[in-house]
Amino acid sequence: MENLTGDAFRRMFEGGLAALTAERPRIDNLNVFPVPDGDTGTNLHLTLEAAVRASSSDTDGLAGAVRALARGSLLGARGNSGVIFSQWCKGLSEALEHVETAGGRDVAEALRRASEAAYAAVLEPVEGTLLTVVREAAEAAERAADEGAGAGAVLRAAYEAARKAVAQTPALLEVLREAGVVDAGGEGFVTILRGALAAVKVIDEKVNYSAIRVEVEAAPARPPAAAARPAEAASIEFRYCTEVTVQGEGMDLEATRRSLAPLGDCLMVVGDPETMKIHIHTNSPGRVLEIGCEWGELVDVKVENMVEQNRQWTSATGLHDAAESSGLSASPANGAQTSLDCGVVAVVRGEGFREILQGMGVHAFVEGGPSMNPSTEEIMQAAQALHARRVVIMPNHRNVLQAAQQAAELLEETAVVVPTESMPEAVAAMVRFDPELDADELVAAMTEEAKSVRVGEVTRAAADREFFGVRVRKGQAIGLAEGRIQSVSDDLEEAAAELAQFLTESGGELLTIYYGTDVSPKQAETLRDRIVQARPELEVEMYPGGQPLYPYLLAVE
Amino acid sequence: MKGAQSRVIRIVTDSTADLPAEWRERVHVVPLSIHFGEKETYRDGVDLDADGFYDKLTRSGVLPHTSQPSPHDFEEAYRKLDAEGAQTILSYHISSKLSGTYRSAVLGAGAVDGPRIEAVDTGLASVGTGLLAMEAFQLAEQGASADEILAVTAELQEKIRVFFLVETLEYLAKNGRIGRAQALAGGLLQVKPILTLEDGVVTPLEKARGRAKALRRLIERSSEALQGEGAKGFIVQARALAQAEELQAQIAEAAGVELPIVPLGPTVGAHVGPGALGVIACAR
Repeated sequence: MENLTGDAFRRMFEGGLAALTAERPRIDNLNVFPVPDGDTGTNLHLTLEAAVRASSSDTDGLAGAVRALARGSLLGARGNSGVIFSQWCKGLSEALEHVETAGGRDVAEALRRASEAAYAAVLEPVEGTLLTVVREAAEAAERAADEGAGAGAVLRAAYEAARKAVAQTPALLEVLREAGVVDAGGEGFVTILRGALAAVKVIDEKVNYSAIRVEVEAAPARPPAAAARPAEAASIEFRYCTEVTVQGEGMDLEATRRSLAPLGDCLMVVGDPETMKIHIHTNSPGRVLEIGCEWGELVDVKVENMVEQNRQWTSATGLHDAAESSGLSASPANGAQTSLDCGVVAVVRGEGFREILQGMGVHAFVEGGPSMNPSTEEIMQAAQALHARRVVIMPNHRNVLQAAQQAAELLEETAVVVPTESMPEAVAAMVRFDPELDADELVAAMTEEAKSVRVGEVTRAAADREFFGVRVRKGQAIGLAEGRIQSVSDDLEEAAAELAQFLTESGGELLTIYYGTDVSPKQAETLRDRIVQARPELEVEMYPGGQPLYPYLLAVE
Repeated sequence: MKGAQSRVIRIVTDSTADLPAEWRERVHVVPLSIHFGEKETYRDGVDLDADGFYDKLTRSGVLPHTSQPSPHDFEEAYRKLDAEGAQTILSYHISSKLSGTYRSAVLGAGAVDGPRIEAVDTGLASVGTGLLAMEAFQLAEQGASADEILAVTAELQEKIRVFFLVETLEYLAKNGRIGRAQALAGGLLQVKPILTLEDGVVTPLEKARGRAKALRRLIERSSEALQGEGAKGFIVQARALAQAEELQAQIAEAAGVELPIVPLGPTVGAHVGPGALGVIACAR
């Protein structure tokens, strides 16, 4: 293959998706910790699926294919690997969007741009991960292109280098070495490349991926209204939530943004010169549609009356004073007016945590957590459905952090991320939630509080494993904190009590036990009694968190 | 001259001011009433003291409620002082946002001809109100005029800071005194707010997880408010003497003032509940 066409490009991504569909469980199991939350394969799969879904609806040559792919992956990105991959796709798209058919040099250049975009997505790039793999693939591609290779040979060189790079990841990263696994994100990427190259016959693959049926259908949109609540009727200045998708050519997003800005608030214009999505709260929805028409064709229009929604919502739930009890109202004492100035969205797993966080003022939830990372788009939808002037997003898991940040970037000035890595951190952060602070102060205060908490997790080992000198058998209870296994026992409470001991060694006054779905309140009480007995000076609180997979989460502050 | 004047200005307050025992002879105290259920009624500080109240509270299981003095109660108190020769009566009361006591005092004053009576809404509670009444008494002793006293106490009122912790928000909530801390009640998670009085209303200053942390913030806040020459104040406690003493020592270390510890009397105690702990700080 000398040149890459749009059609070949699309087939490659479909092939990559097929390969990933087959290999997903194996990649999920490439988990550093022997805990049952491996989800890298699933995340990459869902991200790629969103990309393929978007690109199959667009047939406008190579440029159209890559743009659609990048857009789909950005919105569908889940998990940190998914987000990095989506940025990689974006880099690829930017390099190829003005190319009709790509030769070897173009492909190499695109891979380099893609690698750079992937690195740029991560604040502190770590070698021995997906990043190393995409970079080495790009470097090999450039060397091949320098020798005059065509598109196929360049891709083959990239694939070979990626395979070698993945095998090298344990040498670069201690945790991988200790766990005896290769980097899951990197392996996922190689799998995608393998399927992609096999699909266009650049490499021979024993597995016939094309025989794997991949069903890509429109995902049912989550009804965000169920989790979120529209702003208080009295404070709705702009009545119509207007969303328009416009298709055209050479559309100027910035100019569109400028012409729409005077018409309302919560303005968002995302997309590219061919497809843009407009979101605005306005009293002139007709004018918004006209501006859209000036640029191209309206393909999807939604206008909702938020005042009416609010009326129905309040009458349906009877929660008239919900905003006030959540600490949102500007002046609750005289009750004169309430307005959703600053909304909070939390990614949550577990009914108990949901209730606790709701009681502390979180307005909307996105279901997710270990082994179930929400997509960028799901987080964006939850944030937008609040119709708040500002939104704080708490990802509550390290694998959701990047998707949350990507969502905040796409939402522009309206959203900020408090980088919580666990639900107990979110609970702590909410103690400092104060809608009167400006965005920077608020993020700083909430982050400071979240990071003042030491969190430990107790779960059961999903595999036999030796990790930093600690030997674990499948099914044993293990206590994890600070990236290491701190306790191992056949007995759940024993492992938890030992973990509590570790967490309180360097101080702390309050220990909070959140027990999950796998333990009964009585069983949890035996743990509490045990900790109280060992550390009588400690304040100990216990709540049902309702989280799956982790029978106990412990927080010390 | 000085002696003559001090005799004609009399100071009145109500029993929520939690005046230390020796002050109750100098300042005239009008009691509020405490009700345990339908039948048992006591006059705050007259036939029920702080100790007796908390014993009853823990034993009875009934949430007591309180009632303000009637305008007639004030009328009688003012008439009595008038008969004793008072020419001016200055009457200092608990925040009108927390109790109807001030309103009763104003109505009672209107019914008395003769002496000049000035009722003051201090916007404070407990020894916060008490501090103003004590200051007024001392100024009167020193021969200050009524207007001078009112000016000084009005200025002082702005400087007094109140910080307090409650063991549970339940008492404030059930008695309808929770004010701006409403949002914190009813949550599943235990959150310890550091409370204050702002414009006479209970207002959370900040929240903390855990009593130890809340106590530390209370010490920090109080010590900040007590900086400077001549700062003074009180520590108030409702059956939390050990913690109050700890607080006293830590504030003495941080701010260099040893604050006297005063028990919260029955009326305020009924509203904040046992375990409540606070600091009334006044920087000059």
